[in-house]
Amino acid sequence: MHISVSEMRRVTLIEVSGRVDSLSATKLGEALNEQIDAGHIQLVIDLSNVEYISSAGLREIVSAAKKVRSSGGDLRIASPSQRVRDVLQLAGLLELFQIFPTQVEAVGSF
Amino acid sequence: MPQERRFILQGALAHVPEACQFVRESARLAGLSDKQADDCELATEEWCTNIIEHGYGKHGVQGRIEIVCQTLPSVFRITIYDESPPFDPTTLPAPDRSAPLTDRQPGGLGWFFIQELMDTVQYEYRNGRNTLIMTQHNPNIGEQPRPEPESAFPARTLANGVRVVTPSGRIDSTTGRQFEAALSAQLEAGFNRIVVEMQTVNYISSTGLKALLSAQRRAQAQGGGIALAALTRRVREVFEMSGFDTIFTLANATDEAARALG
Repeated sequence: MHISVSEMRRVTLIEVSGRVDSLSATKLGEALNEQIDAGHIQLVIDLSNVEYISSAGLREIVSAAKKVRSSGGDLRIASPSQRVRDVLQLAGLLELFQIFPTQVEAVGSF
Repeated sequence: MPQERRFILQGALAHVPEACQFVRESARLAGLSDKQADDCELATEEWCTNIIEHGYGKHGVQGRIEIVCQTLPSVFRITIYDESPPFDPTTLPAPDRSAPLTDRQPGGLGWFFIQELMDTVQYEYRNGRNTLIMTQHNPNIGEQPRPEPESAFPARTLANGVRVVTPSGRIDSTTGRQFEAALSAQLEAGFNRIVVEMQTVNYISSTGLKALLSAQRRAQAQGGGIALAALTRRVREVFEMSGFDTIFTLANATDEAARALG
């Protein structure tokens, strides 16, 4: 799994690629927390290059979303693959996140 | 000719991707679809992670996990063995998938995923090992006999005109839709007072609950209703946790449920 973070004017964009499994999820959690601790609470997580995600990965995303929302921010998801979308659906999370087909739309939504 | 492949890993998260890869490969070799291989892979990760974090991890050891994939007539079977202390996942509460985000517990999804992703899941503590047996039907090795909705949900009518429907086994995301169709068919046939006998239902997912809820609304709109009888303890807990026990009469016996419908 690889994570790259870009700070934009109003939004912090977190692009994730590869496998988000129980081994790598901790790293994703740390990256998200680092942004939140720095006061960045408008987050877009781009999942277009994530080929696989398990409940461990969802756990980190849910936990970060709860934190930013409690401070008035949000975590929005950009372009999940069908497979990732299926897992979000299975977890009952599809309706709880704003999900955008492209990164540009997700960033522009803030 | 049944085929068997075996993989042993040290119980550390670093080795789980290899286990996933092995199961995925075995599923594809057995002739399962990509989607089915995806599901087997995810179920394997969820269970192995559970063993490593809660089974071995809690006791500070790095034990062994053994995975056996078998291609059997009509099914692909994955059996996962570990030697951590006995842990029966069937006692785990189901996560509340309808709760708002602020009320969501970040964890607890793994076991739920496994049950939803696989066709059958069975846990045993056997010869000092936790043993999880999961299957997916194999589209390439003969058709899995799929019962018609009528026979999967037998129905009969009581003397007072109440219709009794008797599902059995698991009402999950797949069979939940058939269950909804079966209830719909009863309502469309003019039966608006229905007792669902639950004694042989051992699992119900949110799809099953939704099917019951939608049938309840329709039945009540026609002046009738749905009542449930003879729930197992585990299924009753699902109703209680989700608050569905306030929407349905949960009776011990069929005649009692029928009386509740007037």
